[in-house]
Amino acid sequence: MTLKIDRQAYYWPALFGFAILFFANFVANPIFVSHDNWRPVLLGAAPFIITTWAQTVPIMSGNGDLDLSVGPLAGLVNAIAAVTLPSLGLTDPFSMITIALGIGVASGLLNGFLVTIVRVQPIIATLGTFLTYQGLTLEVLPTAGGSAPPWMRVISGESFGVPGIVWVFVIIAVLWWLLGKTAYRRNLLAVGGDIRAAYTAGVNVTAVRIVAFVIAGVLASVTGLVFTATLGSADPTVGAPYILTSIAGVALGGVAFSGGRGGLLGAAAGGALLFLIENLFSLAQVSIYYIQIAYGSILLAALALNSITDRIRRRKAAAALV
Amino acid sequence: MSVAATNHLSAEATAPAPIASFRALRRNFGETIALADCSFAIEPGEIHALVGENGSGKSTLIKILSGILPQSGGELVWNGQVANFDNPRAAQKAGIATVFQETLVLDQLSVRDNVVLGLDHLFRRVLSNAEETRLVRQALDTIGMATLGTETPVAALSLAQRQGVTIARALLRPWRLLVLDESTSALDVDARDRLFEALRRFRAEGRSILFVSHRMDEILDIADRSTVLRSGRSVATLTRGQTSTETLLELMSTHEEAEAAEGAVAAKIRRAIGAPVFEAKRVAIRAESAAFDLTVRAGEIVGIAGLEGHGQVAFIEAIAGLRRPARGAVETERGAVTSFGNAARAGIAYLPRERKTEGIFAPLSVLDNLTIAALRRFSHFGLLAEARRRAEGARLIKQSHVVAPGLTAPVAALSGGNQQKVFLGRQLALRPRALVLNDPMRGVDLGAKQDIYKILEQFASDGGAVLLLSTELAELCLLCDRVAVFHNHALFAVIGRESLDAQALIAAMFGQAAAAGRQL
Amino acid sequence: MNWLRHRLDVLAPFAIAVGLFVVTAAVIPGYGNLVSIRSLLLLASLLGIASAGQTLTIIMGGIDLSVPAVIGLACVAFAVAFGQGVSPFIIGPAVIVAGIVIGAINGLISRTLRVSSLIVTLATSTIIYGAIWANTKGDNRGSVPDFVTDFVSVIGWTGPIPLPGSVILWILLVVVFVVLERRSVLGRWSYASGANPGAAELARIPSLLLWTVVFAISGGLSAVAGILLAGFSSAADPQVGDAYLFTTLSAVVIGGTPIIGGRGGYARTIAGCFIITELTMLLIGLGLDEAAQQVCLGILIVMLVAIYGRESHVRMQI
Repeated sequence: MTLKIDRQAYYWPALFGFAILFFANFVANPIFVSHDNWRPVLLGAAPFIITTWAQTVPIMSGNGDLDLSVGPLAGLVNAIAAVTLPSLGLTDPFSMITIALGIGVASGLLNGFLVTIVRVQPIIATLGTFLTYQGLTLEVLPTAGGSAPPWMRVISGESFGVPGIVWVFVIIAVLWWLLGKTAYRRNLLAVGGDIRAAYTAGVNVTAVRIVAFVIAGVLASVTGLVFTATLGSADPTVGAPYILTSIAGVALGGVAFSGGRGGLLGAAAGGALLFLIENLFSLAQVSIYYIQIAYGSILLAALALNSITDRIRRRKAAAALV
Repeated sequence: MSVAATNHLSAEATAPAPIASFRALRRNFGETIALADCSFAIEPGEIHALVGENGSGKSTLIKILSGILPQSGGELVWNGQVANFDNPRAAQKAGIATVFQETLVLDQLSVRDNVVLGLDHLFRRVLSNAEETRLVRQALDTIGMATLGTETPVAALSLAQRQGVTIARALLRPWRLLVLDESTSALDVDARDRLFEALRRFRAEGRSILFVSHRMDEILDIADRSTVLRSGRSVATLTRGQTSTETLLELMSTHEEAEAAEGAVAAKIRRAIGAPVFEAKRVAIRAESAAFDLTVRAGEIVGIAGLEGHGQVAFIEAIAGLRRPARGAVETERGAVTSFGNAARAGIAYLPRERKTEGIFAPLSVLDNLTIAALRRFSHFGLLAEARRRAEGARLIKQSHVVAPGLTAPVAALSGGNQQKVFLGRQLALRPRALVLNDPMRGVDLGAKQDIYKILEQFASDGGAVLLLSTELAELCLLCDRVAVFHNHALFAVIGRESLDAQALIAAMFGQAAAAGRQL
Repeated sequence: MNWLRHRLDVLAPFAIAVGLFVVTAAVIPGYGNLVSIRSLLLLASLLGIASAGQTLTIIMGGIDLSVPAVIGLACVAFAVAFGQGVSPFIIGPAVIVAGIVIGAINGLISRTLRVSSLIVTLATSTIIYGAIWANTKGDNRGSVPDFVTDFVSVIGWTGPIPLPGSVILWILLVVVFVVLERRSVLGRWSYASGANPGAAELARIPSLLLWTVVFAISGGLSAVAGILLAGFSSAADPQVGDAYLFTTLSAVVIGGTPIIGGRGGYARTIAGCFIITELTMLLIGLGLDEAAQQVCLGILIVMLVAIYGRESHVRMQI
């Protein structure tokens, strides 16, 4: 297999935007790329990137699927990891990671079950779980508090010569790459592209969609662990903002909201873009409030860009079929 | 039906157990009965044709057989056992591979992915890349498309190639019964011939094929036996010797229907032809195709014919203002047609092809469906003059021969034919000077067809112009003053009333100038 | 038979609303008294006003997630400006116009780009929230004129009628909306557009205009709700509308307007508003704290939607 460069690939605009903003950050503050700055930058970017990844998979499965509960689920896992588990004496990495990922799987199964089997519209179903998780988080932890066990420095500190968070990215990327080698990638793109075609061809469309929600849940709980490691504690308000950024990241990453097109590379670039913007704003000492305005405007701009490229693509396809 | 009965007796005496049989199979959607009573059997090693008009229940039967829909009653016996397939995957596992009428392909995926799709498990792949490529090539070769790149995205494919992909998808599965639901319509002659050769080979291997086609020549050519469906019932199963175009046509339509069709021919009247309503001037459908003129006058019904994908649809869409031709212009008394909105102002109303997705507003009332396009006429500062709207609705119901329980009944409660008449009524509500119709009689029962004929003739007699695209040649011959036949994205011939018959049309559609009595 | 089934469909949510009231009255002492009935009416009317635009948007095939943001904006702008001495008769209409403009922009963008209004309104609401914070810098001092407070007071009167103005406004809104839905060009266009978006343009429905106007109505009414909520909370609270995202959506869907559009109507949303308000009051009455309320409301609403707001199976789409 030779490495082919696909000029038409969906992720090019996102990577291009990423490169520009990276450069802008560098110009604004040359220390940005220094070795010492690596770790905080990557830790800051991690929740943006991982929640965007989480959002990407259900959106790729199309049919209006999206998961509004990713942010609150990350917040809930954060609270459980920093408060509940220590109080139960469970602070070893194995049980913490197992329980956190177990919560993610359970949440994904719940969302997937509601959306595909009970057939509640994704927006209502995941808004419902969103509220439930937020309520549960407040039950566990009414105000910021709790503490992260010492082993979490593996994530927040350096390990094997690089920031620990890099290993989290690497593990997710490798697992996604391996998943891409299985039939799941093809099944996911098919269900997102045209669920009727996938169904008649014999794809188990229900299972494909449920797995998409499970992946979202697992990635959201990974974000929860990253929160715990980064903050060293838990904060009940930490998750909610990432609902918007996850969706904006998906749009910026060039992933089609109608499903059937996208991947984690574009999504990573999209999520990272949002972080770079935030970073740029804080470097320029612009009030934190303007960042929201910027996010919203950027999401609209990304939608416009996607819509235009989509239209061109469709016009080409239609011309071929006259 | 005695034909079927004798056939059954002889079959039971000699042939092995059937691979699939249907026993009083029934399916209804609410109060609509799609399949009333269907019983017949498919033997191992036979090509079995399923024949019937649109709406006779063929698609429903195939959906039940393929695991898409459960039946409401009756039994499906597969390989000697009563079977209920919960989903298409279960049917495929049992050995039933189906090619659906609609070309269900995924634009973003490659040819290989599209063909292999559904073979895998959720995560586990059944074949390696190399094996996939080899098997996909082999399947494509069966229909003469071996040259198609397996890694090409399907978005770049023509309609015929897409259909090839769906056929290859079915062939790749380990099947014992292959179901082809009008899956040859877009294939070119060469691909079709090769497919038929393959089908005969499969038959020799003892595998069975259920074949649905509207083309009598194909059925006569390839089918061992044919089962005729009429209004959701299986009315007869004919052996090869018993099958002829006449018998099939007779079985497909009832006697009353046949007589009614003749009645309409007798009722044909000569209309006064007036001034041009619209003119296509030096229009070219594609940049590289030939330009042509076509003028349609008041009082005229002009037919449009052509094989699928020969530019006729693009042409009528250009007349309706839905697309711009590559070159040339469509002109009317009230200016050139450049957009859908301005076509309406020029008095051109357009009836799209797909009633379900482009036409009917299912939850809305008959009245709403009739008047929705003309609502502004009944508006007083945004509020509706309801009495006037109802009066117009009642008038339109009469004019379009709609049978409905009332103006406020939801249109979804009407039969398909009546829905189509409502859809046509909506265009009449615009009080157009010209009606442009994209295959209006498709999937409509004979009674409704009769009514639509009457509506069109009345419209033309009142001085309107009709441009009628139809895939049913008999209908064009019956209704039209002349028929414009398209070939290779250009107007190929205009056949006038005096030489108008199905043979001339077919000849022109296949580009045979001499036989068509070509005149331009 | 069919007629009966149809009626049952419409009446079921109302029956649930009444049943829920009876059950709650039995469980919680004092729930059946006049004050608590009046507060039920008042809270339902606030939700009702906020859900009116949402109902029409959903019927048309869109969705408006910017309702809470516009409510927050209206609440803050009204209270802060009044606190600084601006006449309520200037700032009130100005705020409503701002809501209309925001709505119109939502509709315009969704339709022009042909992207889901869900995403577009999510984006505009983020911008709105950002704008509120950037302007107030978290300093939310403000006050509300007395007549607005009285308008949403549980013990308020409207002339001789023993109900607060908000309830009367809701009743008027119901009448206007029912007429708008059934007897106006805009209403019929909305239903048609939601029932079959592919057919709408071919039926010569001016989609861009329709989407702009319907979203503008939604934005304007959200602003009205925001002013009323300013009166209710007597403060400039940008988060005052946050609960209204989920509750407006669920009031519409539980009332019997499917989220895919084309069916239902505002009359049904009334039942949805009562159900949601009653559920909230029940949970408060049972002594649950805010967090537990959220959990229960989330679960209950998803369950209610599961009963009769389901989507169709893939097999029916082939």
